Amino acid sequence: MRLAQISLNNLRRRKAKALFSITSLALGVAIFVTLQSVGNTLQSDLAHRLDQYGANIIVLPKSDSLNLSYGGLNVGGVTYGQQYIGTDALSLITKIDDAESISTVSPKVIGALPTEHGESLIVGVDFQQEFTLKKWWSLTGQQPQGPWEVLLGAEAADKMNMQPGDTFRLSDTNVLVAGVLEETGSQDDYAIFLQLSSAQKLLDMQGKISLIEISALCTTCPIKEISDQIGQAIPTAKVTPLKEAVVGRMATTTRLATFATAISVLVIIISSLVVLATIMGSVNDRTREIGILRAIGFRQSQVAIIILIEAILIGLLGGITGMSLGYLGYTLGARVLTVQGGATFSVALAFWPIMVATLLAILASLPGVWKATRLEPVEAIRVL
Amino acid sequence: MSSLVQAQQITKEYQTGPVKALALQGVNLTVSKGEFLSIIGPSGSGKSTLLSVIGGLCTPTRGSLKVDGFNVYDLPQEKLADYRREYIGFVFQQFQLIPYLTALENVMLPLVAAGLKNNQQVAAAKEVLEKVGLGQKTQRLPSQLSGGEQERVAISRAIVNKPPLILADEPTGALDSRTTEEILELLAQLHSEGQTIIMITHNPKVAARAQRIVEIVDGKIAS
Ligand SMILES: Nc1ncnc2c1ncn2[C@@H]1O[C@H](COP(=O)(O)OP(=O)(O)O)[C@@H](O)[C@H]1O
Ligand SMILES: [Mg+2]
Repeated sequence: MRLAQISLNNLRRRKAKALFSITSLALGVAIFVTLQSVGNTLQSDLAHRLDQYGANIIVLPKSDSLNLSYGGLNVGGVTYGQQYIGTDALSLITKIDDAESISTVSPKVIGALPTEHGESLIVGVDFQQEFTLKKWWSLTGQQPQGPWEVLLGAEAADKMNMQPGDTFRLSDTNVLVAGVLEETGSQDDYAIFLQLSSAQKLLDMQGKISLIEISALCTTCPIKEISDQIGQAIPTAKVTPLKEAVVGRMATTTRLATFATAISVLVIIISSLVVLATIMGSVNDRTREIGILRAIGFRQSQVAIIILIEAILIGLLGGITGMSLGYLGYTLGARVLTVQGGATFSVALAFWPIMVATLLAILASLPGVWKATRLEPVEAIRVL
Repeated sequence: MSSLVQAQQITKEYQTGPVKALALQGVNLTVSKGEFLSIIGPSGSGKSTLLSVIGGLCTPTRGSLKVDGFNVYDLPQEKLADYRREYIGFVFQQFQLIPYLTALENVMLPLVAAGLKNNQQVAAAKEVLEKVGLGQKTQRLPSQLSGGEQERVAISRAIVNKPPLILADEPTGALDSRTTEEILELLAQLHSEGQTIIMITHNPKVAARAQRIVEIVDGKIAS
């Protein structure tokens, strides 16, 4: 028989006691791991969703004059210099250092064209990107498919008295109304949207873009940095990060993380107390056993090894069981919450809980050891 | 015969809070090699304390204990543990078996402490358990054994590493007369093989089985 076998036999033959210690440790670890992983996943899921919600960077042509519009109301003013960005800017954006952090790039060409109902606001867009960016858009009818299918803002449709399926003349081209947007309360309500290339052709702006709206994943990279990188890539453009959008998003996700951490800390404290109470409940048993072993002639170091192995076994078993349960909890939690964005369960997450569990088990065995070494063997044996 | 144990002016005071209990007051005792000695005396007279001092389990407040020529309580911690393992086989009053180890494993303990190979541990422990008549019950836990059987496991554990000195604290105290007789037979047999034994009892009949009787009253040798 080796020293380790003495520890093992203790766990094996006093199953109820060992199971109780292991279970209380496992539950603590499981709850911690579940909370942390579900919290992390929710956080990245939320960030992911928020990041796709509207633009947080706007790329405009550089102009020398002051901007004389406020809240969509243009009060005129002469602008000099370039009024557009080249289409090549789009490929330049995809080549910046933090390109992976960019989720949506939505180029637009903007102008005015005559219809039967007078001059109308024309916005050429990449519909796929635009719908990704504007998650709040809802429409009757369908998304435009062909080059001469358009999407009308609510006000524009109202003024022109148009419904999905109707046709009208835009400049000198017949176009089909594929869908009508519900009211958004923004400039979108007054616009006629059509495919970027069609709009460029009608406005005689081939190869030119009026502005680019970009949605970057602000949780992974500071938005300011991405803006600067785009600015360097396209020297003819003015790149403006929308700070409010970024700050708001960060605050929301950080609050979620803080909440998960606070609860985890609480769980750690509670389960630590339970574990300490469980294992320390048998201090006197421990003291007597140590007294017997020492009386028989075991050295202090041998006794220490026996007790340490036992504590480590309990800690590891509890930690690993807890981690497995935690993984189960995470899987269920992720399913219930139907989160999107990659799974964030990692073995690394379980490393510290298992370490803490083991340390806790060792810590809990110390009072018995301390009491037994302080007493002479004959007294330790007599402890009741 | 040469002496194995020389206790000189052993005094032991227990301090329980502000109260001091004087358990031993200047005890002198010499035990020869191969001797079978019994210690009698009323309850609380200091018998167990004396045996613990001799067994290296309890440091005397004053006095010296020489065993085999060296001063036991001058030894450092770890050497004192070695002394207990190599010189002493202690049979405790309440057996003090480890509850989660089988009879065999309990008997193996002193050999585990000595770092013997597993097969040597098993062979030696089995041999001793055979000798005390427990060859069929080596795999039982203490809770699955009767009082007399537990006593025999405790004696087996005390003799398994062949220590020069067996110390038995009321080994028959909790046993019926038939089992008492069996245990005394066992001790007598060990003595006949040359084993030095010190046995505590408060039963004069049991004490009479030894070669010499020492009586302790109020922490002093009375006769
Ligand atoms: N650990 C202890 N703490 C305080 N007093 C003790 C302790 N052990 C024994 N005593 C006291 O010392 C005296 C002798 O005890 P003990 O040696 O056990 O006597 P015996 O074995 O003859 O019954 C008793 O008065 C007992 O109460
Ligand atoms: Mg006693």
